[in-house]
Amino acid sequence: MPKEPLSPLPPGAPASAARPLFAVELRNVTVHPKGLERPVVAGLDLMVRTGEVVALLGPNGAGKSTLIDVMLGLRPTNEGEALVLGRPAREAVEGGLTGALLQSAGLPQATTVASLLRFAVAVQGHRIGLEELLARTGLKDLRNRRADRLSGGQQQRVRFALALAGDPDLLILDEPTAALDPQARRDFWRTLHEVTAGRSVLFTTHLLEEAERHADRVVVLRGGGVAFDGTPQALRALGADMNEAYLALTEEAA
Amino acid sequence: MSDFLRFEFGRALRNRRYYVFGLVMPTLFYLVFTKAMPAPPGTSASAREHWSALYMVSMACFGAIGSVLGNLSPTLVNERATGWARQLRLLRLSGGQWLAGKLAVAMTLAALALGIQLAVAGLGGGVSLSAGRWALLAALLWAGCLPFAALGIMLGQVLTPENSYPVTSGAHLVLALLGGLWLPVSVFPSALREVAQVLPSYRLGSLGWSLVLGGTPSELDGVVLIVFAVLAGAAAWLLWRARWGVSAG
Repeated sequence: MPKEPLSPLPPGAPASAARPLFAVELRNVTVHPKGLERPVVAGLDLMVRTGEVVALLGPNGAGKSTLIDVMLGLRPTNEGEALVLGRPAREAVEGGLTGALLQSAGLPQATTVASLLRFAVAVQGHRIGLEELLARTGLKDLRNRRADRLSGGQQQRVRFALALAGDPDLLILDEPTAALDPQARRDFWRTLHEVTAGRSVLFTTHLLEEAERHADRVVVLRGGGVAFDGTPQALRALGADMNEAYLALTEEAA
Repeated sequence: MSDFLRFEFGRALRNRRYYVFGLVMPTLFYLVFTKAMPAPPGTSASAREHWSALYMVSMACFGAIGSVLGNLSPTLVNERATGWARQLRLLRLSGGQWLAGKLAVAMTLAALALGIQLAVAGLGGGVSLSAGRWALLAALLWAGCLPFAALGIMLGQVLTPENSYPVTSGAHLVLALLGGLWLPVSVFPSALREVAQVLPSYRLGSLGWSLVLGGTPSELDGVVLIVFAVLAGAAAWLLWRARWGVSAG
């Protein structure tokens, strides 16, 4: 049985605080897996304000996936605090406040798109109707197809629908367009903007133009810490163009 | 939880292997070996009925063991490999609910396999038992599937997508063969007879064979099944915790 939806505030809290100021608050987070000489993430601070769209950039191994795991409560921190919408990260997931699309997460065999999403909508507490979810993510025509037999782009839409199934306040998207062709990528961003009005979004990408076009703010990671945190315009201003600015930031001696 | 059960049960019923190994094969074997093949000359009617009843138990166990192993082991391996297991952890479903759901669906499939086998034998196969004995037989055989469910969950944590089907089917066939579900252990060489004594498949069969012959199952049957369930269950639990059980936030 799904857990009771978490109320956004303890009883008696002032109405002005009904919406937490931050969707994500990582304070002094260190993740140091056993057996590794250096921490993967070291003393990192990262805030995402409510309603903000933030792009998390950085070379492979910079700690992006680790941080995402921390924000989803899938990985404990050695030090520091990870709050999502004012709650411990895992609680936010279990309360249905966070929806996520992970590269490492996939679709099950032996189920149709509709039955998979019907289950997801139900287990997330019926906060959105199945038909509405299918329509929002462009899956109406695929509803009776086997989920594991769809094309890469279609499967990505189903995974995005799973992320939206709880009508979450925060969306965490790990390289949501990595496997998509240019048309599918354009469609994905179009859908995202349609469905995310008012939600907080954190996404990772290796495509700088996606960060520039779709994010309010860009955070660049390097060696487990934050190398840059500001608007896309500010990042671009650091070099001749976005690419050069990014490369200069991430290739500097750590 | 009920949503998860419905969803998982729907998926399980789409698995063709379940119908083949859990339902069709055992029923077919039963009909061939008790109905179609002529009895040796001089076989009495009561010996024939005994044989039918014993073979009904054997095939019910064979189908039920195949149902739980087949539903758990390769499916869990696949869910881990495709990342569905990880996706589930992003939904409002706790690890305990997940495990309970998986177990419930596997045990339901086992109940169906057992029920069909007993119904075929009871309604059309010349096996007659009192209502109480039918009920006791069904209940004990069903409960006796738990050790195999634990084994299925354990295998689901250690196998890979490449070997999950052959190893799971292999385990099913070896357990059935050495456990005397295909041929009575009385025809085994003595060394293999000794091996059978410690196998949960033999002990599950033995439970049922005693019951259909009008006797009482030996305590040893229960002990071996419980010990196996505890050991396989503990191993499954530890492996599962190590893989997916990270709960700290």
